Amino acid sequence: MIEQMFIILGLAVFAIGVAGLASSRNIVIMLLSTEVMLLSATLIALVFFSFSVNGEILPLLFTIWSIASVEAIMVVVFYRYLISSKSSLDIKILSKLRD
Amino acid sequence: MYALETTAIILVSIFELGSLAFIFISKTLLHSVLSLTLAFIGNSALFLILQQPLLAIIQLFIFVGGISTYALVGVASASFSRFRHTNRLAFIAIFLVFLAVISYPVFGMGLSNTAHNAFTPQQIASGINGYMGLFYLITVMLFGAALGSIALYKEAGKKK
Repeated sequence: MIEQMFIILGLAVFAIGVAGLASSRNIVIMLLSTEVMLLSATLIALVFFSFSVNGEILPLLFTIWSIASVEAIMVVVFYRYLISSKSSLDIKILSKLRD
Repeated sequence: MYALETTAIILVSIFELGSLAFIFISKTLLHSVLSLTLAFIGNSALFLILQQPLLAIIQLFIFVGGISTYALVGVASASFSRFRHTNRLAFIAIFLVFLAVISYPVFGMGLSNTAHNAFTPQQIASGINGYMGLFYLITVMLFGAALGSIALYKEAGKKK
């Protein structure tokens, strides 16, 4: 019962991430929703580790955490780059840009 | 015991889902990153409810101390966004449909509740020793991201 609540909460967090990625237009918000999906990945991995699997959790968690760190770097870099190059954060305008 | 855990899960999940939803509601990027930080704290509290205090502390340090601070400093100069960045109706619709689809197999599923694995400090060595190749790949990925960010900054400086 407890583990089902945890798993459904993790899936709800993942669904928030997917819905945010699909329905948002701001590129920073889209990257943040990718972070939300990684967050749910850590939660679900830890639930399965705690309740059923005998094995190592640390390599998986470190991988997810480092991918999340790279995401944070990408958030800051894209934001700074798009601000300094005077283009918009709107993904609809960005997709129309030609070099 | 179970009633206490259930109450804690419900409270923390309301907190976490609310702060996650506020990311897409707020008009300022700064507030979005702040509410993402609150969601990280809520996730760490969920780790505590799962009786994994070591992983909760590590996750709190990495996410709240590292990632959120970095992103917060990065977008600190953000002003109000001039466009409405999230289509809220599409957000709610996609959320409900996707959650219904992926959470359908969970009902009626039971994990073996007898053995509760707790991550102890003694397991850190066995979690690192056998996976050195993976950790090397992770370092290469982080180093590549750092180099790429520097290259992109220099490119942005040239265009001015």
